[in-house]
Amino acid sequence: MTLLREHDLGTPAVASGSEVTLQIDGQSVVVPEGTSIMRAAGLAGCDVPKLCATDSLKSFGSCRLCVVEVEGRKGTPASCTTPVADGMIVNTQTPRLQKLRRGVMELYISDHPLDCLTCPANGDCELQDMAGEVGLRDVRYGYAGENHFDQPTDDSNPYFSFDPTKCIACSRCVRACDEVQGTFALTIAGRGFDSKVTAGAGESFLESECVSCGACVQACPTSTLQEKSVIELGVPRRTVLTTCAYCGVGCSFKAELSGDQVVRMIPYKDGGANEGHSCVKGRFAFGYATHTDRITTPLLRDSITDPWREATWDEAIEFSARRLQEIQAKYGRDSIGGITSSRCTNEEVFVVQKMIRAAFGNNNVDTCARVCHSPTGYGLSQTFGTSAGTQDFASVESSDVILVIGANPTAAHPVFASRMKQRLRAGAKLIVVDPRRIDLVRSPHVEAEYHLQLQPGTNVAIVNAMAHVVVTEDLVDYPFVNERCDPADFAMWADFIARPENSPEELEAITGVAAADVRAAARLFATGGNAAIYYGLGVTEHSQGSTMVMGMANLAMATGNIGRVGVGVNPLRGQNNVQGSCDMGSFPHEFPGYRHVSDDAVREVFEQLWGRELMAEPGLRIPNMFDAAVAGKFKGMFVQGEDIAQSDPNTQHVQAALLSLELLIVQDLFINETAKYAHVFLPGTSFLEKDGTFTNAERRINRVRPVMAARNGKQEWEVVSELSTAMGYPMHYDAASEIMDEIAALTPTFSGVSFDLLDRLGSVQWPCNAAAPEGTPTMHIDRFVRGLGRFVPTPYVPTDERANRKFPLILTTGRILSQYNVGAQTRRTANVVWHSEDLLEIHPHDAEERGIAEGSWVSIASRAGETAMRARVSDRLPVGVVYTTFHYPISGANVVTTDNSDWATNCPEYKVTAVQVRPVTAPEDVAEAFGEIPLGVGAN
Amino acid sequence: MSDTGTLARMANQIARNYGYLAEPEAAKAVASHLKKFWTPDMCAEFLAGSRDGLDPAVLGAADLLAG
Repeated sequence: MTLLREHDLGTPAVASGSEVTLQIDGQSVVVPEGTSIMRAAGLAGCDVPKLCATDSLKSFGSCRLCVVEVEGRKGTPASCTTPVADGMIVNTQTPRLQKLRRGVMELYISDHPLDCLTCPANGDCELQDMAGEVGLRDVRYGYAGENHFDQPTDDSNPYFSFDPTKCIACSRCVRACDEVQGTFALTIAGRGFDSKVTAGAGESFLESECVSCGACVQACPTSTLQEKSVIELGVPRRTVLTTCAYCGVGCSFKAELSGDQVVRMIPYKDGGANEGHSCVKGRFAFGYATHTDRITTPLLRDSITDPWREATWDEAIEFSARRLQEIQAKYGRDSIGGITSSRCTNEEVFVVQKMIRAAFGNNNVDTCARVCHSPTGYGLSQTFGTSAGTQDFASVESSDVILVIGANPTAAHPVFASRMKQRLRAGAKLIVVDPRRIDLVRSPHVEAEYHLQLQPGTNVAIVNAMAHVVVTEDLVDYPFVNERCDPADFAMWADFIARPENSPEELEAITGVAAADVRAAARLFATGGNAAIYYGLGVTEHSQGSTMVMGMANLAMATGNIGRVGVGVNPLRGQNNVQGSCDMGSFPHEFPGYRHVSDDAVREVFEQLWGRELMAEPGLRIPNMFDAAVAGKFKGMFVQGEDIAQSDPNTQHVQAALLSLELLIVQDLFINETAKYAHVFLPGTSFLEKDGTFTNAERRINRVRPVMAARNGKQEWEVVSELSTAMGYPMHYDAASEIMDEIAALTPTFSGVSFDLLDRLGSVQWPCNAAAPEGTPTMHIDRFVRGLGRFVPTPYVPTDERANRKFPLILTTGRILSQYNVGAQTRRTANVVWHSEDLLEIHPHDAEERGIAEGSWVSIASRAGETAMRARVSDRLPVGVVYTTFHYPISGANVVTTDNSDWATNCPEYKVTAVQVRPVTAPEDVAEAFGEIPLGVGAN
Repeated sequence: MSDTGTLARMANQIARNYGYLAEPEAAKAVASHLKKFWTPDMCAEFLAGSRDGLDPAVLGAADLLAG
């Protein structure tokens, strides 16, 4: 499509139960009570000129360009700040108004560079548009007066520049930072003529607390805040609507292009997940798609010690198929398998699991969700009946109490965090359960009521203690429980949870959290109104990850906080399509739609459509595959878009497994750590090339549309189809939409989904079927998917991973805003300016005890391995706990993590590793100490 | 598929999380879990391995699976 310009109605929509009717420029219009005249005029097709107003921000009333006349009222009120009234008669275009507006514009233009023809915003500038709209022909004051033309440009941010000479001090950038993003990094410093936009305390944008979300750039009506890509490439000419491929928020974007070159990504106002907002990754960090490291030609080699040789697609497919079949002939049907990727589309994931089940003939398919949210699948299925978050993101706007457990939304899910912070600033109470003092605990205009700073590994003890308070202090919502939940299960659970060993006082020594705080937090959660739980990998990546998910579900059911807007249990998914990859049957025990492979009726449906007999027993999970590879029984592996050598725990074990394979096929964008062990490299497509769908954390299925031609010449599902066909199971689709049609035909919760529907509605949240033809924003409203909600007792079982004298500290891991997972994408963008290496956060007490200074090199040694990185001394953590991220292969965080895992799903226990930290003079010291170079240090 | 020590450790871990159940329900729960999530080869290897150090619920589950 040509460049899509969304209609800016000037002020936000108002939710109101009553409507008013008024006349604007002779036209009758009906709008909700409380709507501004400006918005009503826009809806009536009579846009009022404006500069300081935009419909993502509250009205401000500073530019005076939007003045109107209201019959029966004196003066010329600003239409942005004046609400409509029933029977009101408004005129937006009169000679008096035109004269006033021209006068206002004269003042603006008298202090604005007249460089429109060379300005990067030429043709995309609201100031320019308004000057034309008000008919400005002359500036009576001339241009020689006092002005701001000598102010220097701030080019410190890698993605946008700030040219204050063009600023009209409308405050849109400041208000966007405050109201939309919630960072409060910008302000208007000075008064009157000296007023100027300032980042931080007069610092550069890069030095300030600005998080580079770009909301200010998007809000700027001039070229003051301007994308550098627009400065370099010019104003874009066309738009493709698509979906971000970073975190599980799944923001909708307008990819704006000039020719085939992406000039900028603008968050789409009608995007259900993000409603026009974005973060630094989604908006700016797309350059990896065209990075010179991209591999676009298939590569082959007989041995991983050989150099790669380029191959044709036909050669690569034939080689892969032949070697896979040879392995199966030699070692048996179950000796091969594969992994799907949560970064790929539903359609791409679906065909991989189909290839494995139908062409490989086994169920050895797993997904990278194994190492993040597989406990969510187990826990929510056991309690509610299906594996999915219960709400849409907008639900948080109706929450009164927000419980954030093991998640760091401002870093990992920033666009949702902004929405959450808006609600917190409006008065909702916040409880944070996290060993680390995340930003949400205290940030501008947000402060948690309670930060339960527990010891890593004691989540279940905390949730049990909270539930104990609910049950023993008679805070249970019995009407809800009696109507909606299984009474026998509730009785068993209530009896269990009321036991003294689950009391906050008994568990205080284990959790490290004062019993009084736990009691107070539990009371707030149970009695504070709509209470919602949001959680992340700090819940799931534990030895009791699944137990904790069930514990949270128990708490939500016991307090009646499920089945309506504002409440619920909500996993914040790490990658863009974690939900979708799980939905698509990526787990070895489940077909698409979370149906066990042993279910004869379900299997028969798949067998009939696919024309193959399918295995009725579960296949290998990822860690089982590694174990089997080391044991010499698993010899061939297809890895779709996941860097298991970097992302999976106990790197040494993963390396040993990969080295044991006779064939490793990697389908990816770059030669990543895993590809170093591969025999076949099948070049993949970036999200800008894909055609398909992603499903975000709120079950929202969004279209991913190709913005540019596939650099490798093929969609990934085409490659997989060809491989399957070469192995003797013909698979062919002419378009990605045909794959979705097959998914819909096989999956009851997707039966109403099609590309046509998505194009019509924009997005849809599953279940989407005959009962819910336009999707399901809130789940379990009248009944749980399983019928009655099931309470499950959740005994606290300490992890086997214990600190001792040799490994006295507990290492936990997390993410940072500017980087994403293993960093394969973001490390290839300018985001490295904010995070160029992983650091070990260590408490000042622990640092001093070890003689560790800020920025010095330290060794981190665990029972699994040792690596090195530099230290950051921080009191965000309690004494005895250290923290790092895992965005850089060289830091090798997973060299030290162990193969302990969740009891139910084998999701790795990334969040608890006993370690010792000691100062070293250089990273090489670690290698010397161990006699060989570990993966994380130097060698790669 | 894996070394039997790993499988035994995993089974014991599963049993500990069903610790709220009394016998024989705990054994049934463990057996059901293994059948639902472990491959037939893993189950067979586990059953063929040593039963030293196994949680009583795991021993019960092994009997159920073997039977």
